[in-house]
Amino acid sequence: MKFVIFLLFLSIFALKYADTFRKEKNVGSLHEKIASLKEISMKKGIVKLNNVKYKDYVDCSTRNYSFIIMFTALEPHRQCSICKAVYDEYIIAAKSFQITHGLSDKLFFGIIDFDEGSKIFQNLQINTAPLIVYFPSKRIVKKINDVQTLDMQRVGFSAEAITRWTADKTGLEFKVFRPPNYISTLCLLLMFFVGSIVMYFKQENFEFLQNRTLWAVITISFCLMMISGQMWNHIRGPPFYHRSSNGISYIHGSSQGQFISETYLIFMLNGCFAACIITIIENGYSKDNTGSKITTTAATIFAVLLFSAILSVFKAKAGGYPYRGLL
Amino acid sequence: MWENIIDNPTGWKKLIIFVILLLAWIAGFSSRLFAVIRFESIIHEFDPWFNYRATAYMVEHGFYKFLNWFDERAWYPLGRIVGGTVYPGLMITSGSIHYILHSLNIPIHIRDICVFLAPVFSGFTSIATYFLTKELWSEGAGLFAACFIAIVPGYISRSVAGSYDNEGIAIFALQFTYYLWVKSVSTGSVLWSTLTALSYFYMVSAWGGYVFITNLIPLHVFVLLLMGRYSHRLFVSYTVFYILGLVMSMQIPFVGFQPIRTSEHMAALGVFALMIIVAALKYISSKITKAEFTFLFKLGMVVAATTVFLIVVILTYSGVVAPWSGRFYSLWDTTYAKIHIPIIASVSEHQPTTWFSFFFDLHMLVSMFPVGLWYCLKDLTDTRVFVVLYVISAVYFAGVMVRLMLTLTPVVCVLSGIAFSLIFDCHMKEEDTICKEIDAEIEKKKTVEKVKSSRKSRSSDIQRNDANIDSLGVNFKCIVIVSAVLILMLFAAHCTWVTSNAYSSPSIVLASHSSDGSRQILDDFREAYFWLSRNTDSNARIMSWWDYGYQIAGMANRTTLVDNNTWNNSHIALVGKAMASTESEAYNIMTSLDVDYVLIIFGGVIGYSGDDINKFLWMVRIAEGEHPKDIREGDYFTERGEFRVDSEGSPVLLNCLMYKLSYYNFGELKLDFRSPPGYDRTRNAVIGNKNFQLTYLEEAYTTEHWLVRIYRVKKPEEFNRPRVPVSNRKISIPHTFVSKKTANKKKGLIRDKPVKRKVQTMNS
Repeated sequence: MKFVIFLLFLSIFALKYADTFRKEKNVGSLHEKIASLKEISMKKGIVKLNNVKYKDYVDCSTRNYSFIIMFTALEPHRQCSICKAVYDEYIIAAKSFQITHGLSDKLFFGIIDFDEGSKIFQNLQINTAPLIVYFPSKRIVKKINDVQTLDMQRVGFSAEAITRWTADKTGLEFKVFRPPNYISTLCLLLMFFVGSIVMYFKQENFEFLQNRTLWAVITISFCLMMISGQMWNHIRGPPFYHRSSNGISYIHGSSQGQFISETYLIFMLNGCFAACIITIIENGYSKDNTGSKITTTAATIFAVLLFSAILSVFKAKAGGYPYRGLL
Repeated sequence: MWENIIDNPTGWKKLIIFVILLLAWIAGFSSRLFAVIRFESIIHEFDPWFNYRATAYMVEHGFYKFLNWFDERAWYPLGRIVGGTVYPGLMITSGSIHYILHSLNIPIHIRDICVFLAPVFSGFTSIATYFLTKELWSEGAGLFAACFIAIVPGYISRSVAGSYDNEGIAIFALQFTYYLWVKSVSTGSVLWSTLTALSYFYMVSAWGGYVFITNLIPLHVFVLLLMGRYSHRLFVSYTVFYILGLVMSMQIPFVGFQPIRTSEHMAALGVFALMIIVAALKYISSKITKAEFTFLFKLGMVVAATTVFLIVVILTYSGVVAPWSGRFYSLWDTTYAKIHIPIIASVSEHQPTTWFSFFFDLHMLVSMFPVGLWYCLKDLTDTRVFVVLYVISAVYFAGVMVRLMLTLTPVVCVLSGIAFSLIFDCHMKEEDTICKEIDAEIEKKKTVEKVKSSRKSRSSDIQRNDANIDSLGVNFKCIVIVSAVLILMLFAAHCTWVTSNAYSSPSIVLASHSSDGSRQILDDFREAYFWLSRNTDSNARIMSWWDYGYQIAGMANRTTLVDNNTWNNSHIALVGKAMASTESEAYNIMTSLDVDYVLIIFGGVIGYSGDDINKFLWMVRIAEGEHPKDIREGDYFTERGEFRVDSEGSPVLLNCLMYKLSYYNFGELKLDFRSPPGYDRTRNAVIGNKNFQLTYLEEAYTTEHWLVRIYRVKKPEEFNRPRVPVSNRKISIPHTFVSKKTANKKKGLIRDKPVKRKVQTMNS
């Protein structure tokens, strides 16, 4: 008797299990697929895919919705620093799409991490990450070369670029809504607030603001920074130096470019030159003492040498420049 | 009597100053003449051609006609209201010179005035710089500064003979305005500030860079207020200047209501309000007790600052005040232009500056000016605050944008002048005039003020030459002087070399040196423009990339679609689209725009790198910005992302209009024995698409060195018509009508009826 009851329970359990199993299988119906996709993407804007989900949602011919999928490797041990940056922009683009189109059943944004879906990477023959790929509806993709990918080398990976590319491919236009970055503004306000309070209560500690020499040094450093091409470095982002077969070169060969090391060199040379000239002038006006003669002479020689150094760096960069200093 | 003159030291001083300034003028003028001597008296480059054309129009038709001029020859079919979209100062200046000379019966062509205007004004600039530096420091420093600015390449680059552009006169206006402003701050007189406003008015009429003045002067006032240096002099000079300058600047049609509506001008308004508030508070403080005043002061400051800030923000958001314009905005957010405005990013003048460019344009001044800056900061006065702010802002802008080197150059000259004057001042004194008065008081003072006090004593050193204490021996001084002179000589040599090699090419006439050293002149541009003016209908419309719009209008006198005044981006994008699409698609665009001729620049034969194929990617980019559906930049690259014209290049590139027009018939051309036919010297490649025929266009003219190629757009009936054999042709013989009127009653007869001339076609 007991055994029969156990069997009964077992069969009921089995039936129940079978039932759930069938439900799991039932994702095959298109409507349900879309419904569940919508549900997933409602939370984060994107659908996280792995081997199984990819087979269910993407790799089927009945699919009447398209997919934009980013292939990436976000795990820290993969050491893909750009992946994180692309991921952030991708999320912004996906969310902006939701803001404009609501929960659309035309297009979904997906993401596949290499550590969760390495099989897909292999099947599609993907060797690089990150990669943003467009999967048009009603098509089974066999190889990555068959479909269109976002050319990050050229257009970059900003949310705007992703958006434009998506709109170009799917015809669904949408605008990028960047979540405004309140943190920096708040920090600035807070710092300003704290600063003004400190200044109000501890006025005597801010005597240094009256110090002319400090201001002079700050101003001159700013000028030297600008004339040594710091702004160019900021905008163009050149390397610190260049390593080639001839060894390391710290100075860019042409007049069109420069390396960061070069900027530092010129900064130092110009700064020292100015310091020498100031020494000469100060000595010229100072009262008589024995050290004055030696310092003046040394400063003069030093200034001439520094200037010759600048000239020779300049000459090295400008082809056919006829003049040179002592060096 | 003679003894009197010789003994009079002030007279000698004045004479020497005058002679030095005159020499500086002559030196500056002559070093700008390289282009005229090597080539001829000709207008350079692109923008000057428009300025010249506008000036010639004004001289011919009068000033009011010029102000109302609607130029239907540009931006076809839109046209351009020239009077309202141009800074007329340049044209008025040369027009008035022309007028004066002609009323003195000196017959000079307006072109010569235009060519030599900038060199002449460089002399005025150096005089204005002298006065500015004299006001800031001393006469000696002023002379140095004047000489520097006369020959420094940073300024010569914009003012060689033939470079007839706004900057040529604007730098003079800038320096003169600053001189008058400094003068008015130090005197506080209404006269000087009125003169400042007048000079500012001239600057506004001359150049868009006047925005620099409208922001720098308020900044100066603001910083002075912050430093607690408020004075009645400051109040008078700023309020007078602001009100007069504002009213006058709005008289320029192109500026119009901008001074009260755009963000660039709001700082001046804000500082004006602040000034009034501060003045009111100062007045009240003289009437009430100190405790009351402190409270009132704090309250007043907070209320005023917030109100001004809020008003500006609200007005900006509600659209009354326009936000920063794109070009201006790219100065602050340095990556802005790169992302948003390809047309700004495409102009090489809007690129950031390397240290090389700084040294190239300013040579030793760039290393020397921190010294001058140091002494200005050490010994601060109201006026020196100004020069410090001037250099900080100018050096920042010059770093962001290479063309703004122009605004940095004058202030660098001023500061280096100060530095050199200090060096020579303390080392060149004669034994008996050197006087290091070591007063007990001075000793007590801080070392910071050492320089200041010593200079004070120097001013009166002629009287107190009793203390004959020489700090340095004569020999040691000699070392310093000789080194300084050496550096100055290097500077002069560098300036001449740079001017001669880099900035004296008219770029409309090219010169090349052949292997035996003889010079070869390539005059293809003028050849092509002359052909256009002689062989095409006077209303013919010529499509070219916008770089050549002004030249076509100025030299060939034909209608252009786009030109260097890049006000309409979508129109430029349309031209770019035509160039980037296939021949048949381009034909649709060209017929919709009524294009008769297409002009392109091709440097493949002589190895000229500034041709249209090298600029082509910008055309694609700008076209893509407006027509992202039709043009995609990626299509013009190979799989590996290379831009190449040989057989491996992308097929879209090899079949686009620009490619076909550039390389039409080029595949058969063998340049020399070593290279294969169709070898492009600029890109060092054999072209990929050689044997093709044009359907919708035909070659009309190609210049001697193939630099300019002109194509005629065929009319719809000229191509694609099936040939009908003569026997099948139905020729309708018109019904012969015999008039019953007598010969002298006939109507509709045109005497000397113009005969349609067929366009010459030359195939080379």
